[in-house]
Amino acid sequence: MANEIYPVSWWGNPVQNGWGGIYYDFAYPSAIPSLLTTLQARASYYENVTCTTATLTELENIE
Amino acid sequence: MADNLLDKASILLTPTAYDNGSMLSIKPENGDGDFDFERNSAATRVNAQGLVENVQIISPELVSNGNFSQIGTEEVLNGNFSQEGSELVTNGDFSVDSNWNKGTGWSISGGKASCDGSQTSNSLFFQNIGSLANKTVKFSFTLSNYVSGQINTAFFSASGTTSYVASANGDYTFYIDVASGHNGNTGFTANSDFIGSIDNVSIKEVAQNWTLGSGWSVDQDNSKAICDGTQTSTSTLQSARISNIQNDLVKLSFEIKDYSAGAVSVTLEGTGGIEFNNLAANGVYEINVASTDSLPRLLFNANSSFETLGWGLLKATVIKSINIPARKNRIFDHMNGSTLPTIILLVE
Repeated sequence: MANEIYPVSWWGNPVQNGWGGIYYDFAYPSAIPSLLTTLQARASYYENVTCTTATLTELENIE
Repeated sequence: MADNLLDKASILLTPTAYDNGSMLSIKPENGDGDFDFERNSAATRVNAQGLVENVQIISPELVSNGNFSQIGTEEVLNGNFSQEGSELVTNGDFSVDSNWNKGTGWSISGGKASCDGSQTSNSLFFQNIGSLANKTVKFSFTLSNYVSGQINTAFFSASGTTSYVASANGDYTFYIDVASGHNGNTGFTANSDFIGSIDNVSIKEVAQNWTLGSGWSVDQDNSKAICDGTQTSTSTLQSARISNIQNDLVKLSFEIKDYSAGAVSVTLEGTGGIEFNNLAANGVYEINVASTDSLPRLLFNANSSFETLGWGLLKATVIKSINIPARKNRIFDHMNGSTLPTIILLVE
């Protein structure tokens, strides 16, 4: 519609390390930050965040 | 990216977040997947270097006083002023006729020391109990068979020491601040008219571990220090030096009762300030402070008009807080390896 900014962007169907890869993270936002934020909020102790993020990232990359 | 393993997993658990007795699941996020466990002994695990090492159980709280609610032992000696020293008088019950120097008219017989009035001037009755210069003593005795005249307490060569009078039958107790110069000779002076007997003579040091300025005295029987307002300038009640509290958080507390006039300021040396300035009301006063001094003293500085009417109470206490860094024994300390043991449960 004229004079209206699109409320949602369509990033296509990019491939992570291929066609449209620079749009990949926009098209498929990671669930990891939200999961870890919730986890930290209810934990008395939280550590080893680097390895945890790495492990979750690996899982997120497995179809 | 939909349909990846992270999305598909129903339960996902890594030893990353934990409470006492449970590991917390990453998924589900509401805690339904948390892993509870109990151990009654230590365990082993493989660390990031592939080595087996001992780890401790997550136990009940191992830190003592982690919330600092616990207070330590009393650090002020004789803080309630109730302590009294050993008996300084020998043969105070006059069971034998010895140890006392008897002036004209005095004799010891029948378990009493008696003065028959034959003296024509002041007559001394004393023994040497060692110098009590600048100390406070509790002096008590019984006067009986009183006929006439008076006796006065006497601390020889201690010019300025108050001399208390007895001139009737009865039990007497006086708290006396002995002035400097006391040569140790201590007892009574009978005037020329005195006829009567004394018994149960006792002298004990009180206010130990305190230095009393002008106007200050201690009523050991009632566990209090008194300021009578006779001081003409700032006068200090000063504790002995306190050890083992340097740089520790301590609780300083005391109570003022039966306030009458003037003001008193209270300081623990080495805190960098005055903890209570110009207190002029009854009350219990407390503050948590730390002193950088290795041997600080607690000072009560009474101004020239501070007075507690003889019923005042300064009950001082410094209680040391046990200061242990709060840290809990944890299973997963040092687990910084590149690979985490992970539990994944998929429900198709």
